[in-house]
Amino acid sequence: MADKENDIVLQFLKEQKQDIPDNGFSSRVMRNLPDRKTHRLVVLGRIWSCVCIFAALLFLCSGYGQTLIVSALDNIMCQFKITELKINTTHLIFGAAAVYLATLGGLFKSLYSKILKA
Amino acid sequence: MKEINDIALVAQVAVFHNKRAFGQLVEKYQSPVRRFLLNLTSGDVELSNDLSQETFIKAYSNITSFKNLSGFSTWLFRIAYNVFYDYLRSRKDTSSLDDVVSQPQSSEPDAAMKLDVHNAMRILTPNERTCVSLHLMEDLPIDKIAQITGMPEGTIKSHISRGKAKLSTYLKNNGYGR
Repeated sequence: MADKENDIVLQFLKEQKQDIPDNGFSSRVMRNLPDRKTHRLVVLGRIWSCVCIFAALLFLCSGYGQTLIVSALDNIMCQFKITELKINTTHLIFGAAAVYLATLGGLFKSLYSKILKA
Repeated sequence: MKEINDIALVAQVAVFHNKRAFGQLVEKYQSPVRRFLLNLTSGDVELSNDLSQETFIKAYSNITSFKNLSGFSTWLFRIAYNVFYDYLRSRKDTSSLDDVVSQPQSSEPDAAMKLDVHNAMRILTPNERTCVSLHLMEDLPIDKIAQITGMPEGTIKSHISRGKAKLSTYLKNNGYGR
């Protein structure tokens, strides 16, 4: 009995369900969409973010940046007396490269999020 | 595939402000959204069109907040649902919808048939109408309806069950299915 009642309702609603023709509705919506003008400050913010990222990359890739990171790692290892293990310079550079990539990835992600939110 | 297409279009709108991409989304979803709001407004064509337009404008304005946790259609229906209830609140009348909505206006040839479903829906409470419309007409599963309305799944099932029972009685009393 309940199934029959269910069927009647489903059949009725299925018959009544019709696609509504557009009849210019979409055009009206598009005409009334707000302009998403980018605020000047947002543009300046994006430019400044790019400048900072470029400067950071330049610093990291420069000889001075590399020297700084290697000496920092060296200091850390000295503190833990790890130099006794005679760590290879290649390993140090590999580690520094891993730091670069992680930093780049983080900067990229934050910039991408910032652009999306704007 | 459908979801991927929607996500691609949404990304175009969000990142590149591509209005044409948004136009495609409007054309794709205008019928289900308008039908849903037509059911909620008991067949008021003008009101449902206004609310539908507001829905799409809000979707466009807030496109960057779409996080694809649910599908785009679910997100859109949620906006439509909120737009409708904001309208009700703005009228300062959250009682029966029948007091808020005017007589349905339609000049289409099969208007009589269309009015029947809206007259039938009038006997339901707004929540029953919402749940029945989304589940039985838009074929949305219970969990999606829960995401749209914020109601617990058990409550939605109750509304659907009561709604079907009321509609069944109404249809029988009006000679349908004999």
